[in-house]
Amino acid sequence: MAITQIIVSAIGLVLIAWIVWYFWMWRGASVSAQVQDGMQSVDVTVKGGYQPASIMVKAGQPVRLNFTRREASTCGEEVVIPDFGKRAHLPENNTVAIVITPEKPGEYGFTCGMNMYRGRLIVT
Amino acid sequence: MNEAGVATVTDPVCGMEVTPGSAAGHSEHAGTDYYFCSSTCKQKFDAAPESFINKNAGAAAHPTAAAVPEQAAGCSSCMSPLGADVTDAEQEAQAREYATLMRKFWLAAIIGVPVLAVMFLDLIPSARQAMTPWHGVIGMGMAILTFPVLAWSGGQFFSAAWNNFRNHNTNMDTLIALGTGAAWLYSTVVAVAPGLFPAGTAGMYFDVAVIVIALIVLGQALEMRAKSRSGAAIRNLLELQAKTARVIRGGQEIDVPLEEVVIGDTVLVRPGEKIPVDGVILSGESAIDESVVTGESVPVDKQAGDAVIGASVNKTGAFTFRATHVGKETALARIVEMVRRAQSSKPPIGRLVDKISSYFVPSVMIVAIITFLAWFNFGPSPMLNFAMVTMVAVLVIACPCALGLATPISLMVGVGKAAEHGVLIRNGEALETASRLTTIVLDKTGTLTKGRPELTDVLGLNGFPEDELLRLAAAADRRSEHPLAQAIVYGAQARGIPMAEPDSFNAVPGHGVEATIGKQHVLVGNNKLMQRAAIPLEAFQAAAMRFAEQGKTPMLVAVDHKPAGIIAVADTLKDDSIAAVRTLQRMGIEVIMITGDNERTARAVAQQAGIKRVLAEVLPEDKARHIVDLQRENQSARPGSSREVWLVGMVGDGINDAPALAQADIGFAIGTGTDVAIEVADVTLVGGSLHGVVYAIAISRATLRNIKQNLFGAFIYNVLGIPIAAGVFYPLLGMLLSPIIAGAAMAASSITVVTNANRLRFFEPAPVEKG
Repeated sequence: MAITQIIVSAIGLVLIAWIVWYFWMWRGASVSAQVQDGMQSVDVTVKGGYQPASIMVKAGQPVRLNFTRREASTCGEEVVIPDFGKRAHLPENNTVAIVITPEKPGEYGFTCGMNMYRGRLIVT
Repeated sequence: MNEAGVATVTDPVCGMEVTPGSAAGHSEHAGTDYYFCSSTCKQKFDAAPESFINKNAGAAAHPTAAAVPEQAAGCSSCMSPLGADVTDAEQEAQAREYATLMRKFWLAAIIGVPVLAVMFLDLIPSARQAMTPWHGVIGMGMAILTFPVLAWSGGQFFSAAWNNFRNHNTNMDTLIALGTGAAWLYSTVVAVAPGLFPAGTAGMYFDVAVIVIALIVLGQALEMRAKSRSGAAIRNLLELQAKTARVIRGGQEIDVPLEEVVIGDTVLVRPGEKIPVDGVILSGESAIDESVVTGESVPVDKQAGDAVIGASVNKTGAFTFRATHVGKETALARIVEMVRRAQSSKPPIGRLVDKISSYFVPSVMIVAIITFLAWFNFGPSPMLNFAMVTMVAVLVIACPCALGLATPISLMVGVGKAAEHGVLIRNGEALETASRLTTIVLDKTGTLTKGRPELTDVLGLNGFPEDELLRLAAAADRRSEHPLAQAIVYGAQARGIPMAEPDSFNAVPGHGVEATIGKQHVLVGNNKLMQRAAIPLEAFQAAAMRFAEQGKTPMLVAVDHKPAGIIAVADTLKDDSIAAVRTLQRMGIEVIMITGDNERTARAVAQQAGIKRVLAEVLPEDKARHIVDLQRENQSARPGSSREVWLVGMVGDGINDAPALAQADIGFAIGTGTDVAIEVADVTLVGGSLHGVVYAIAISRATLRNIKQNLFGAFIYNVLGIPIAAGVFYPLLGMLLSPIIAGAAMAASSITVVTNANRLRFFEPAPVEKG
């Protein structure tokens, strides 16, 4: 086997491993909320998913999630936080704020109306 | 402005958060800027700015303190952030979106025709020979012609695929972008530089790219048209309230708007009027129809000290009451709030096709890389060229043409088929979800039962003849408007018993009636009536108890001051309820009954209907909570199971059922019920029979099965094409992917999907088991 073949094969295998990791195993980094006047606040951009998709907040303090949908695709036009009974319509390029107060630590999900985009709220 | 740099302010009219840059309106008042979510809000503000500034004091100055509004004060478009209301503007946007998708489809279709024609000519040897010298020119022409299809008709797939990629997602968009993009690029390179390709691999796939996009955009347009959502439910709920109240202030009766009634006001209600707010009766007595709030059809007799509920209807007498709950505190306002909450907390359900794609797309990418490596390491020379061609061919063939049609076409046939049988399904998602229901919760009154009392038993005491008993009771009740009395009158008519006119008649509210027929004195009513007339109750007791245990209401009859007999009435089961319950259970669905009635009556009805599990004495406001409990219970009872698999349906008819209908994964409204229930529900049963639930689940299961077959049919030809594209037949047959194979896979998957979806038209549910 020539040296180029070994190199190309190695790159190919790494690429396969990367695909498996990138699409199936990736969990994303968490972002902590900023605190001001007792209100925790995070800006979330909706574009093919939630950025950030994983948000750390403290229990017992109100959390304000500012969702801004920056895509024409209608997938993300609704955001749902089932555990808090919140469902909001997100007009394109408008910021819609949702305020919740998580009392108990734990993980709470938020998703789009079809459950394709997924985010997590990690309450500590 | 918060620290992250996104400036939002609060619309002072409805309390919604808006960004000044994109606000629909702006006004200046007393040196402060105000922004609005809609022009309606701006108009309202401009008309009376002070009233809004004071109401939302400080909101504009401290935007971070504002939450999503709890009550959107008369600003309809502001309700949409709560998901409770879909405005006209939103419906217009949907219509525009549909029109755009159809234009995109027509562009792709019109360009697709000449492209397909050229590709077919290419398959005819003589035509192919004639075209050969022009191969490059024709190829370039088609590349230019088809580019707008990819860029405009299919542009959303590419942008969505890119956004998805950046978020580590793959879905149907990724698959389409990958397949059509690879096909177009590959074909364009073939047109420009055919020399790069090993012999027999220089085929063009422009037709694949265009037709895939045309059909998938058509599928999206069909789905968009089928999309409609509950909207007016909350508005209708609020319209149930009385508009004004007659309040006694300073000794004078004055009519005031509902909003001006305060706690402690003395309110006067006349017969036939709506009760404006919640309160406690001070004086007077009446029968009150509370069905609008409680769902119970029989008016309730009330007197001083009893509670009354706003929006219920006063039937017989006039009374005054003291207001105890007004505004957002009334029972009706709480129901509105519950509906809003329930609509917002329903977890979304994923789409099957995207779930498949999220596994399929990375798999295809991996297969493409393996293909490349195999050719690069073990293939014939020129290795790099063969490796490139086969890798791209795998991506081209992987995208099924009929993918976009597989779901919507079955849903449209399924929804149409259901409508033929009087089952109106709101949208495709509801149909998908209904097929996975594992639990059905049935409201008792009006759903399982007829919702009005009927005569069931006539029992003479001490040898009193039964026909005579019924004749006298019916004659005595003839002038009464009470539904229990009417049940006796109708019962007597049905049995062909002649009825005399009473010579004297006196209705005793909360007790019964007293009448004279000929020379006989007749009393028909409850224990209290007999006690009032000093008639001993012992003779009645044993039998009355037995009727009560069967869920019936015993009416005691005394003739000439002696116990004569008991007439029992009950809200009986609808004729087909038993059969429908049994069929549901046979389909593997747990059936549960929920009711505000007492345990004993509930058990009796449930037993007749063959239902084992009963939730009785449930307050109207607790129905939705019980649905949540059941949804959780299902999850915890089956650890590890995903939410999609265990779902709870609720069948009801009353306004009190609305929050539960909204909370349930699928709400079924009885078509003879209230408008609000129908608007909240996902499925409406026009006929009112519970067989509709059976049919809805059966058709949805058949449809979902059909969709799965369609997805299988859409994918299978292309999946079979993958090994050919990867070149597994090359060593034996010298065969690689050709445009013929790609075209055949495209046609076969589309024909399979359309034909299979049409099979649903012949769906007939399994015969219903007879009760």
